Amino acid sequence: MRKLLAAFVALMVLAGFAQAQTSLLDEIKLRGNMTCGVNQSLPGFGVIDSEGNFSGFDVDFCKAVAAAVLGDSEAVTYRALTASERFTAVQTGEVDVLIRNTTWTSSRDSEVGLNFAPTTFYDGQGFIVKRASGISEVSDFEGTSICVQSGTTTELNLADVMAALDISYTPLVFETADQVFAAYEADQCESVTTDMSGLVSRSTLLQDPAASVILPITISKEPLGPAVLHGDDTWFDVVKWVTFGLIFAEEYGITSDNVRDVAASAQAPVVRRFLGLDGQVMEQLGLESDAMITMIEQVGNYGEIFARNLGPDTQFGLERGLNALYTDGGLLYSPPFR
Amino acid sequence: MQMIPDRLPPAGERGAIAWLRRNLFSGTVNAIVSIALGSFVALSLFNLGRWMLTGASWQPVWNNMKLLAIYRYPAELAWRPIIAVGVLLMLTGLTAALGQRVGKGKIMTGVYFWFGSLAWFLTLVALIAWPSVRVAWLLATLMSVAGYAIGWYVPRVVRAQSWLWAAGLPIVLVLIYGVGGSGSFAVVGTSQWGGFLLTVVIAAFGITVSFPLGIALALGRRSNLPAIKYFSIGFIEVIRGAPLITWLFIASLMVPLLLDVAPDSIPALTRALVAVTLFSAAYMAENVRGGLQSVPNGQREAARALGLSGWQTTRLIVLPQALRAVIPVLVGQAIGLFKDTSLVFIVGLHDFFEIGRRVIPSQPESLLYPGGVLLEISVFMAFAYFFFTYRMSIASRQLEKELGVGER
Repeated sequence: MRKLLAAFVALMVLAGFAQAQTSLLDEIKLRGNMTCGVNQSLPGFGVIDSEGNFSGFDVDFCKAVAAAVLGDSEAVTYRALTASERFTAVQTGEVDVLIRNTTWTSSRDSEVGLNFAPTTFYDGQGFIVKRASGISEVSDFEGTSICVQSGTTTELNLADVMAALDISYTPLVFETADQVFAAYEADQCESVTTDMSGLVSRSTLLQDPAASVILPITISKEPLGPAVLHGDDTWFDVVKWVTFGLIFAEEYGITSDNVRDVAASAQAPVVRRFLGLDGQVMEQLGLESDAMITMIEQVGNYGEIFARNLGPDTQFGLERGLNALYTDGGLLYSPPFR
Repeated sequence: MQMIPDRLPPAGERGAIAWLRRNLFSGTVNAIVSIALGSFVALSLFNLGRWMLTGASWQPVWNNMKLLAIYRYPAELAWRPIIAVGVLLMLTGLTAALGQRVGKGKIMTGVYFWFGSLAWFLTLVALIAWPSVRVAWLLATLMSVAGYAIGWYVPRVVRAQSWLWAAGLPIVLVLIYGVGGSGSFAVVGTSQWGGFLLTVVIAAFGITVSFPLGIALALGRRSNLPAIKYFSIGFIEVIRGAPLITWLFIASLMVPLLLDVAPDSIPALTRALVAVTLFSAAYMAENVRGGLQSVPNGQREAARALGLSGWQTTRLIVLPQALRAVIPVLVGQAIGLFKDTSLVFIVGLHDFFEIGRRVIPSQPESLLYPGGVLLEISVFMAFAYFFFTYRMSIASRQLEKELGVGER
């Protein structure tokens, strides 16, 4: 029996080894379709419209990867995942890539066995405040009351940060997010704190959304980004550099509107390499040489994705904050395509 | 001697006033309780009604009707599920009318008119507001009427009745799933199914398949053959030992791993169907076993003494009595299953409840309504679920009455 078991385990290992030889990239190209694990109920990031189509900030990154790999941003099968099943779905191969407001942490990288592509959204614990209160930075919270949900890391973060800055405030703690916002509506507190992405959707549900404002500051780190299964470097590279590509395109002012013109007239070697006009950058990644042109034409660059889903022209009206390019004081930075 | 003709009771003893006095105001305490509860109920209903008519924003519910009904099923093929409804109503109408001619079929008639009127209502709505499915709904209602008419005026079809049902169900499946190609009968993969369509598919499949499976397991558990007996016991106890949500998880994520196949080679719907059916079968088995135990052993012995074989005894003597005794439980189980389908979101399916609870309230358009639209959608979903489950419990009561449960 023990021998049999050992043989079985050896076989499984061999099978796993054999599988590791072929990358998901080839499999996806063969399938002509990519499976993307997304959220279906996080406004601005992943939702389903009344016709049944997925849209949102995270969903656009799925489209970008599909456009770069398959040349068609619509060649995506979306799999709406719950928070608890998302990692298993990656581990079992149910989804090729997970882009579902997932925070990059060390244990998810190591123990859960994921590889995280660059952060697409620097989330963090933020504040929504009443415009009338005049609060604009953390030090203004002195002597105010803040509504917060109990038993969450949010509550602990708030206490830590405020203690470190020696700011005295009154925490009003509630059991559910609904109660927190009800108290805020009833003027029991000047502000509410929770993750920025959550504030975004909640803010529009307020009776008078215009009377509140989300501060462009965060007091905790929640870097959200695409994740793939550990161990498939070829596929990981693709997802990673597609994400960088979106940022790169914004850095160099390449948009969905002008990408064809840029491709026709580009002189700068960096841009020419990026667009696949010179060199073998895209082929080295296993993509078509014009992958970035296709992607930007169909989906746009990072800035366009942000503006379309979360930006000031949307109902969420989110400022770029940390999610601005490094040249604008944000954290987005693409290594060179070379 | 002269007979005094029957007279009505005195005026104070009959009519609505007397009923009220007897049932609600028979004493001071009762009167106070009646008034207190009555005014509470009236106030709640008034507030609910006022909110539904003036405060609620029904626009998102209305806009998302397609999503709630069939999810991502292609809009240009939406006529197919509708015609499938027509086929089912036609068959139901046929059976109902045939039964009525011979003074039976009360249940079928009830079901027919219940869902037939829903179809009429939807047709009316479609004629006014849904141009794309106008013709389909009209056709479906006409089919339902035709079915009833045929059953009523051509009683000869009674001989073909079971054949018609046997042909009708595959037609329904083909209509919903499609045949192939890219035209009107293109295949619509199960990943595109959702909404109420999915809820009904899962519930109908689960109920019809888990019923015979449950009976088999119940009989197996009472079998003298150890292999069968212990398999049945093991199956029932293991399945009942974990909640449905666990089994859905296992079916969703572990089955592809255990069978070592690609995850997308088993559609999510299949996994959900397997989990829901097996889960329901285990409970069904225990319900049926309860019924089997209620049949006195003398029945079996008498049947054997009359020369019936073991199988005949079970089929003709024991099972009918056993099942009759547990009808309310079985229907309760079916209703429970219908509502439990709302857990299939675990395997990534978008059933009616999931769409109403999470998908629609998260749409950016829904967020423009102060306070969101979850309340409106919940009220709508409650009505929809009630419409179906209440009909099931009426059918159960009619069935009990027809079989004389509790009277003999």
